Amino acid sequence: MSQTKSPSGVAAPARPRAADGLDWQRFTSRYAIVGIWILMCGLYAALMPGAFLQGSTFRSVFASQQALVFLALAAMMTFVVGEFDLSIASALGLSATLVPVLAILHGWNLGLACVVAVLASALGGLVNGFLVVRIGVPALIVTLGSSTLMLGIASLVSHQTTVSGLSPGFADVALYEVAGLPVSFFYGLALALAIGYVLTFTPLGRHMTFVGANREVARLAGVAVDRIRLGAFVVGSTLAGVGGVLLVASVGGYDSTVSPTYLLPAFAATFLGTAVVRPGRFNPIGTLVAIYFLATGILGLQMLGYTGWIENVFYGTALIIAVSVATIVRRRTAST
Amino acid sequence: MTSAPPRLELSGLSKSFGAFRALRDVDLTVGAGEIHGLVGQNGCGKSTLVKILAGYHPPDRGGRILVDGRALATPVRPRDLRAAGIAIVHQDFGLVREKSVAENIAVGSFTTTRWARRVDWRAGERRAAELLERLDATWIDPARPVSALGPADRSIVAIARALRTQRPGEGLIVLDESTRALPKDSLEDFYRVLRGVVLRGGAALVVSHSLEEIRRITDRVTVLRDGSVVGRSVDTAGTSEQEIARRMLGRVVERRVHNRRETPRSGPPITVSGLTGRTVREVSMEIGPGEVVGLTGVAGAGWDEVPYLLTGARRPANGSVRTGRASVDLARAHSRDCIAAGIALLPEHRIDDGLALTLPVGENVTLPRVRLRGRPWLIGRGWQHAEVTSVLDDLGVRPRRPDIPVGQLSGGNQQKVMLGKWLAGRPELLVLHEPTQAVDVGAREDILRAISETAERGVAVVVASIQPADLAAVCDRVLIFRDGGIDGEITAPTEDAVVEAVYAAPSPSPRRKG
Repeated sequence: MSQTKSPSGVAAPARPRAADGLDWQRFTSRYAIVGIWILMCGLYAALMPGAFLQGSTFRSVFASQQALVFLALAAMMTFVVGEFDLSIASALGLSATLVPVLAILHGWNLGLACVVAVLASALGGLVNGFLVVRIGVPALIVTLGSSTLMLGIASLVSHQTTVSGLSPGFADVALYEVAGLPVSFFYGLALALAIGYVLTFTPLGRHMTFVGANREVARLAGVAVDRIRLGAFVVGSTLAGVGGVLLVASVGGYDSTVSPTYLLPAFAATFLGTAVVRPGRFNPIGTLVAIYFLATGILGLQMLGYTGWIENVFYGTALIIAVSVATIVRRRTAST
Repeated sequence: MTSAPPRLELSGLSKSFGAFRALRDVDLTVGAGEIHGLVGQNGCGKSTLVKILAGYHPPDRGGRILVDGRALATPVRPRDLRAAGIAIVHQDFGLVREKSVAENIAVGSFTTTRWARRVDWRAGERRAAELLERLDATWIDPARPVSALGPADRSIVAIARALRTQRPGEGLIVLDESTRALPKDSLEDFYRVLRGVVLRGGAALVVSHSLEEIRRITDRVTVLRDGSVVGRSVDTAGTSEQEIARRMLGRVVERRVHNRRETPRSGPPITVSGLTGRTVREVSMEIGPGEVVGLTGVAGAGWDEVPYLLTGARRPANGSVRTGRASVDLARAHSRDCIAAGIALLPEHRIDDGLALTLPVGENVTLPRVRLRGRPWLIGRGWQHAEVTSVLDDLGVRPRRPDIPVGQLSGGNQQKVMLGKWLAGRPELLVLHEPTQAVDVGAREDILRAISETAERGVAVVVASIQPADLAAVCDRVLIFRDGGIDGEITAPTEDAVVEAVYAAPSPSPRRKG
């Protein structure tokens, strides 16, 4: 155990500070990202006078990230309980592939196709959870394997082509405009709020948080640790599946080979989210803020003329910085 | 002693971690041909000392390490250590199970000529056979994989490897709790081999928590307490286990915290029957409401297993417990079943098992009851606030802040939070393992008083501890464990009585097993 050191080298007990000083510090550490976001917007506005500060810019930031929102929240489900799942992007891709394949190539009822697509993703999560929790295989191996497996299945059923041609009416599920934004933006918002509520205010959420913080402590307190870990895999994968349905609805068709590109941004946003709102903890509102923050960054760079490679460079850097920041924040909030 | 310098001499060795001084001015001398013991409780600094010798930690300035009169540069470099003939055998022996005896003995010593693998391997096998012969352990085949050997033979392989870099009649072997993994019946072989090494002019430093072992195999013993030497090169033959234990534990001038009642509170007792785990066999006991029962004994006697078997933390092969609320078959129970029966556990390892350090004090306190007292869709603030407030006030947790992570509190305050977490559930049976470990004097009193007050409210309490002072301070009676069974009971215990009973020669008992 190391303790916070005062300059004299004597271990300083955490002493209560003046309330206003503490609150200010807490406020700045909680909302630093929002400040950086505003600075970033200012920078882009200065570089692209007139072009950046337009309603359309922000509309495209907030209207285009639904799949990522669902995926990042899916990733968060496993992170909260101290696990991780590398296969969620493939689960999203599998579901997004199955909907048009079943509905168009096989002539299924569209609603049924959606349900089956989500169930397929859920099944992936169940298998992952079973192997990790019950058998004890490392999550890295299991989810890396199942990620590739689901990717392969998706390209098998789609015969390696983009199946499109879903009815335009189906797009309304995701794109129907409400207050100037597609309805799926509000789905994401509602989901984030719901998950936030569960984690903060319900016994289930409290149990999940403790399973993530210290599994043994949770078990000795009577928490059904394994059931919660398994559940996190299933719910996470299911959310990814729902994200896949929304994605294919808004785009009209899906090329299953692009699935892996969704994983990194989702992870980056989830980790970056731990530096916002409730520092040191995975939290959905922070994740949401992080997603739109990152999307603004990308969009600005694209408007400056950087395309293609910039996404990988930006998200890769963002993930590393986000995890480093999260590590520092966690060390600070929980120094022992 | 002759005029030759001692094999190992540590003088004025200190080690600080921040403000905490793990070792202060430690002197220790091991002569050639001597087996020297180093004893002390958990956290006394003995493992820090070994880590300094091994080069993991640099010592503070001013301390010196001399081997055969020559000073070793600090921090100690493995190469210098090997050149000086010092070898450290760790608790787990550090053997690779799948590899042969010869390979295990040779590992690390021909890394420089690795490309000539085949020739070296043969030479290694010859060398291994030679070393085993030096130990009179010719029955071990160098070509066999280590996984095929019994624990005793493995320990001998580990010693052989330690001797690899030493010429006969030189060197020092440091055994860091090396016998912990050995079954009792194989200890004899181990001791015999060690004695043989030393008779030929080697030397050994045996770091151990087992006083029995220290008494049996060492010539002299150095006792550490709180990082200081409290017994320097004590002649083992001229002392007793009790005497060593007293030095090791120190004298705490003890005010009795708990007022023993002549007439125990009425009501049915908590009944434990047929508890059989890894060490304990068929242990049964009754704890009356309002009674504090201590469990103690030497390390490995089984008393330290009981808290976990009794509370669903670890499953016993057999055993059950009956409280006023329920009867629990422990062989099938989860922690939650025991919690529902009104049984609460304060484990020894607070950081691993007791509290989630990164989460706030308040959430840690209420965790076991969020489902019971909250509704599925809302935990509710009121009861949480009331619980946390009363825990912080009753136990005097400082700072009085429910919102900061538990990790920011001192050890003593963390212990109070953990106690409060379980007391708030109003248990019928409270089981504690080393409740005052690594807490300061003031917090220790608070904790012991809280235990006593808990008992006065009619809760049955079990305290498993190696600390006679703690047991004497709170217990109505103390059960002494030996070889997995209850071997004696002391009512109205004093510290002396507990020490005497624990380190007394084992009473002839039909329960003893090999």
